[in-house]
Order: sequence, then C-alpha cells, then structure tokens
Amino acid sequence: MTATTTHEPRTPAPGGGDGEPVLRLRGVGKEFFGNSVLRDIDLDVRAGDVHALVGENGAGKSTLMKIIAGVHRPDGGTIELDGQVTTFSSPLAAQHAGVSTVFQEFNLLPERSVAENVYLGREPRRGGLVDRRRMNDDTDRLLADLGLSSLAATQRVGSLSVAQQQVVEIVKAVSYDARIISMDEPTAALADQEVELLYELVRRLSGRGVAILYVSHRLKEIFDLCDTITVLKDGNHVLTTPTVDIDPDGLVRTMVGREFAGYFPDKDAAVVPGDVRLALEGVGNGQVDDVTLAVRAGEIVALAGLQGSGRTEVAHGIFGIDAFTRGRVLVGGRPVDVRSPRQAVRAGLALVTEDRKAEGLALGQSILATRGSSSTPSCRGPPTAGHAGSRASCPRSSSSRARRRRRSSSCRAATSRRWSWRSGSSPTRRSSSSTSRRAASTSGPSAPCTTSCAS
Amino acid sequence: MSTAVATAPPAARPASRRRRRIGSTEIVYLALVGIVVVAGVLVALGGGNLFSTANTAYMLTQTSLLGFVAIGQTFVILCRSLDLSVGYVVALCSIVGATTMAGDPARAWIGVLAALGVAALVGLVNGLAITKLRVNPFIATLGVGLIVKGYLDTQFKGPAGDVPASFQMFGYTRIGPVPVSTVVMLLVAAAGVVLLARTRSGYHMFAVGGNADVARLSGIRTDRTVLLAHVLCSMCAGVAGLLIAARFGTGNALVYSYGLDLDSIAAVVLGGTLLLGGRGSVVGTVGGVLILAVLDTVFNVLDVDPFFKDVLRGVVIIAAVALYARRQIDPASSRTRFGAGGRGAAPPGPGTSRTDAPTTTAGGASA
Repeated sequence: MTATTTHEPRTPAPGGGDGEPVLRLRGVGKEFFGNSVLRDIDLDVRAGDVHALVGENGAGKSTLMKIIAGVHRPDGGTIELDGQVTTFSSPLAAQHAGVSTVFQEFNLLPERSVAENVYLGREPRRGGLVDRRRMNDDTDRLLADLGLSSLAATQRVGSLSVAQQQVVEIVKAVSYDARIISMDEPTAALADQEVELLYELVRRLSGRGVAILYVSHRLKEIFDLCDTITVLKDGNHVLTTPTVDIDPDGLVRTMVGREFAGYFPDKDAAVVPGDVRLALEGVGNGQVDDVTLAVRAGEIVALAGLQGSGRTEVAHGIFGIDAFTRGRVLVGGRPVDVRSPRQAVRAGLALVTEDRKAEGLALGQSILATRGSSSTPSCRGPPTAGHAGSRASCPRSSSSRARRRRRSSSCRAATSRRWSWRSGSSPTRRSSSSTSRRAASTSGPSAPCTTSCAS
Repeated sequence: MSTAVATAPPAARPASRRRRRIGSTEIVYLALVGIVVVAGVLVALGGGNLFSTANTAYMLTQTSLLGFVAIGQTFVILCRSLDLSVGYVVALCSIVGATTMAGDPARAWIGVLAALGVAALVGLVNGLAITKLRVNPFIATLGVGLIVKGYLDTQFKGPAGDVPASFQMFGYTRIGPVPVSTVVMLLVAAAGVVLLARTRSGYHMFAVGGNADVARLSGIRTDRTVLLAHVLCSMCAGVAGLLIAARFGTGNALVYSYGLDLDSIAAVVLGGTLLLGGRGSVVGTVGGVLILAVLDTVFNVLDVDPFFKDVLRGVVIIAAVALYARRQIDPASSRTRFGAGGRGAAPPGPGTSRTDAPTTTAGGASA
C-alpha cells in the first residue's frame, strides 16, 4: 500500500509510503496547569499509511490528536507538514492546510442535508447565491468516488444511521482535500456490520494516498486496518513499529508496561459474594426486553455490549430514568417499583452516569452539595438527610475539608470519576476481542447500598 | 461485499423519511385549510360569509402587519435567538416615519429610509448586546425594548407626525380584495425564502441555530450571522411600523401594546420553526400568521367574547406546539429496537437472553 498508486487531487509527498512523512512531529510536548501530559513526542505519518495511535486512558492520545487538529498548541517541539514547519492557529487553519480530524462527537447539523454539512461555511456560489446544484453534484461525486453510493447529497443527516453520519464526517474531511485525516475512536459508536463501511472507506482513502491517524481501543481493528502502530504511555512515546512486527500480546504489554496477565488481574480472593442485593426478573421497556440478572453483595457484574446494545438503557431502567414497564426489580429481596430516580434513591440505589460531566455532576456546586445529589453513590442509605447527614455518612469520600470545599467544576473529569468509583469497582479495560470498549458494571462492593455504574 | 451489507438497511429509509420531512411546513398549511373550512362553515351557519370582500380584506390586513414582524422573528429564532423588542420598534418606526414625512409627499421616501435606518440601529444594538456582551437574547431584547418604550412614553403622549396621502395608499389601497400591504408582505417573505434557501447568510443562520460550535469550527462568523438576523428582524418590524403609520395617517406610540412581540413568536412557532433554532422556514411562518389571522377574523365575525377569544388562541398555539413536540420525540433519533409496536411485543430474533449478560443484540441490526 504505497502512495504512488494515486488518482487523488493533490500529489502525495515525494517518495511515497516509505519516503518523507507528510506530517512530522519532533519533540512535541504539552502541559496543562503544570501537569505535563505529553513529553517529547516524535511522530512520522506517511502518505497512504494507516497509522494507529494506541495507549491507555491518559496516555496522551487525545491531547496529541488535538495538537495535530489545531485545537491545542504544543508548548514545545515542532510540527512539520511536507517538510515545512507550521503552526495551526485554529482547527479551521489545520483543515485548510489539509489536516482534518474526525472527533468522537459528531460535528454535524442533523437538520441539514449531507451536502449542506459537507460544504458548511464554504458553500459554492454563483451570482451571489448558493449554487445548490453544484454543491449537490460535487457531494454526490465525492460520495461516488469513495464508493458510498448508499448516501445521497440531499439526505437529511439526522435521518442517517450513526455509521453513515460518521462517514459524512469523513467525507467532509476529504472534501477539504485532506492529506491527513485523524480519527478519534471512529468505531466506538458503531455496530459490527457498520464497522465494515468504515473499514472500506479507510482502505480506500489510504489507497488514494491519504495518511490516516487512527485512534482506537479495539485491538482487532488496529491489526486489521493499520500499517504502523505508535504506542504512547503516560505522555511518552514508547514505540513505533510496523504492524507486522508485533502481535496483540506484545502490543498490550507495551501499552500497559507489564505482562499481559496483569491486564486481567485475579479477582480478590478475600471478597466472597454474599446475598443477592439486586435482582432483575425479565424486566423490559421500550429499549430493552426480558433482562434477567442478579448482583450479589461484593460482586462486580459487567454489562458488556456494543454501544446501542442496551447497556446504558438497563442501568437507566434500574435507576428509573427510563423505568421498566415489565418484569420485577428486587432490592435486597424485596420487590421495588422504581419509576423515577427519586424512588431509586429511596430504594437504596445509586447511579454513576455515563457522561459524568453532563449528567452526574452539578458543576457549579460544591462537592458536598453534589454528594447529596442522587447520582453520586457511596453514601450510606438514601442521601436525603441534607448536608450534615451526607457529611457524616461519607467519611471516605471527604478526605479533606479543603477538597470538599473546592467547586466540582475545578476538578477534572478524571478526578470526578475517581471520586465516584468505589475502590473495588474501578473499570477494567476489556481485551482486544471484546466488543465493548468499556465495560459497564453493576456493583455493590461491601456496601450496604447497591451501586450501579453505567459506562 | 462489505459495502453492500451496510447499504441494505439505509436504502429503505429515504422514502419514508422524505414523506415525514415534507410534513413540517405542509402540516401548517393543511391545518390552515382545515381551519378555513371549519371557520367558513361556522360563519355560514351564523348566516354570514367568511369570504366576503370585507372579511377577506380584514383577514389579509391582519396578516400583513403581523406577517412583517413574524418574518423577521423567524430569522432571529432560526439563530436560536429571540427578539422581544419588535413591538416597541414597530411603534418607534411609525413615529419616526410619520414625523420625518411631516405631511410632505416629497419626503415620503426619506421617512421610509429614516424608519428603516432607526430599526436597523435598534437591531444592531440588540445583536451587539447578545453577541459582544453575551447577554441572553431574552433579556437583551427586553432591555432594549424597555429603553425604546421609555423614550416613546416620555416623548410622545399621543399621535405624532403626519403621513402624506400618497403614502397612506400603502395602508389602504387594495387590488381586488388583496391589500397592497399584503402584496408587499409576500414580497418580503419571498426575499426571506431566498435568503434562507439560497444565500450563505441564510445557510449560516441554520448552522448557528443548529449548533454554534459546529458552525464556528466550520469557519462561520457566528456573531456576524446573529447580528445580521437581528438587524433584519428589526427592519421587518420597521416596515410594520410604516404600515401602521400609513393606516393611521400618523405615528402612534401606543401600538406597542398590540402584543405583536409575543404574537410574532407564536406565529413563528405555529409555522413549524423550532424555538431552539436550526430548523424552520419563512413559508411556514406565513402559514402560521394566516392561521392566527383567520382565527382573529372568525372571532370578530362571530362576535366572540374577547376573553374567550384569547383563550382559544392560547389553546390553538399550545396544541400546535404540543403536536410538533410529539413529532419531534418519537421517530428518527432513537433507534427502535422492537419495531413499531414495541410496547409489550415479543422481541424478534436473538435479542432475548436469560443470562447474566443481558446484551440485546437485536439493536445493532435495526440500525
């Protein structure tokens, strides 16, 4: 797969796949508030190369992506594009320079058509008016070029599937004549058969000489799709290697910096599951159906599945956000009828939400006040006793007064997560073959209340 | 091969989707036709004729006044903003227009320019307060409106200015049963349609209202777009002010009590524009204005109690918006996992699992 096979608008970097890189990072570093999150990163991305960027959470992948996208500026080091040192003043500047980024969250307008989204902000004009025909024709041609005949320029984006929306984002990137497209976990929201559409597109793009920087947690994809792998760990560059020279075990070893066995730690032998704390018996609602499971005291139960498979919906059902309409829920052996989060809290349930920042925390409030709110677990019993009560019953969570007084919004997301996860229930990353990126777990470790954590 | 797998399900979509898509504006006009028919029958039962020249003219005159304001309001609401100052702008512009004309036919056009200029200025202030000072549109335009109101209340106790007869034609002349003002309103509406459907500025209004971050990342100057919408909105209100001046023969500060501000928002929302921006159309807004005008005329012809009249208007508006909200919620965005009749129906396929891992795999297939 070299870049010399080319029928793309711009000529690739001279020398092709084995030659000069299109994008070259040298000694790039980044600090946030004195914390160094990236140190001395070197990265070469060549035309036609699918380059995987892997690492654990917090390894610095996202920050590096954002530097390349022009969202952040590096504190040190240089970025070279075609041998020229450049700085991107904004994401738009990067895009016009041929560096496009497809972020995890969609940057699309659901109420507008595919063409209107692709050409947003640079609609072709004729005589002062938007040349809709040209815009649609150009988009259709672009789609046809990429083998995406299932999409039409005039379709409303909101009517498309998640995978197709992802594709529209990539088409938008291509329409800028992007020579480098970085994708941040593009398959995170996709089902298996939808992933094929993306694979196909990525292969086609690299065949046209586009360099692709691919961030994913799914090792299978990395080995299926990528030519080169770069591993980051704790903000440092660890390794760059052709995919053929490494196997999944070796890659995981490099990523976590320890043996593969350590990746699935043995269960704590001291914890013996006790009585059933939470039981679902054939529950269902509009989103899930006939779910039966039991969670014992001290047990961590994972709800695994693809995004959209109903993991979150089960957790939401338990917690009464989207209450179950069928079946029975038992807490501590007693049937409860939970139809709202308020009732869930009264029944002794708690939920750590998927998007902790958006749903779980009232960011303007102090941690103490937030602890009293329902979605934050680990208080003994229903935390309805007010501030004094929650302070008294949460000795573990309020390690120091100063921290407690700090406003929640000043804590980083990672911090707020740490606050919410119980010691025994930190989420374990699942392996390559597992379809789920993060495992959802329902847990009640040695606590009188059952904590369900949706991931 | 692989693409074929992915293409199969979406291929079935467009047809059904398109049918629903057309609905939004179409439903407004269907409702309008329905209301006209019912109203016509009701009036006929009472021995009148809703479609008599007098009634039609009244209806259309109502339409043009609110129409101007509502068209402008559409731009602003599309941008996820709001303009509560339009009522005061209408009053201000009626006075500015009439006093500038001062009964001199030769000065009529100067009066028009002055009124529109003042309107544009107010719109600019609105827009700047919202984009630069970052004041919530609700508060910003309310504040600007109150400032204008204060000026009007202290400076003009009664009618002011004198509109020359030639310009009063704008208020009274009719072509058949159709007032000239309605024709002008429809021309403004047509310009609005072109603006939204065929110019970059219009496209950007949809983008800014749909998602300001996406718009900004695409290189759209979002502040400028909002500013433009507010200037256009105020200028539309300015035209409404001129219409009032033409009809009364003078400017009048008290017309701000007509409730045009809230009525225009109601008309825009009735017309299918999302109050949260990003979706809507001028055509829909005109439909919404017509619905309100028909209701108004019928209530007048039938001599409905004024209190009951307002109650009915309120009910119609709430019912319409509730209907739109319903249409918003159920369909596209959430994937239906168990088909249309999901309530209690047994799930098809392998989705059911009675194990500890309740992964309903059927979900992916329906995507």
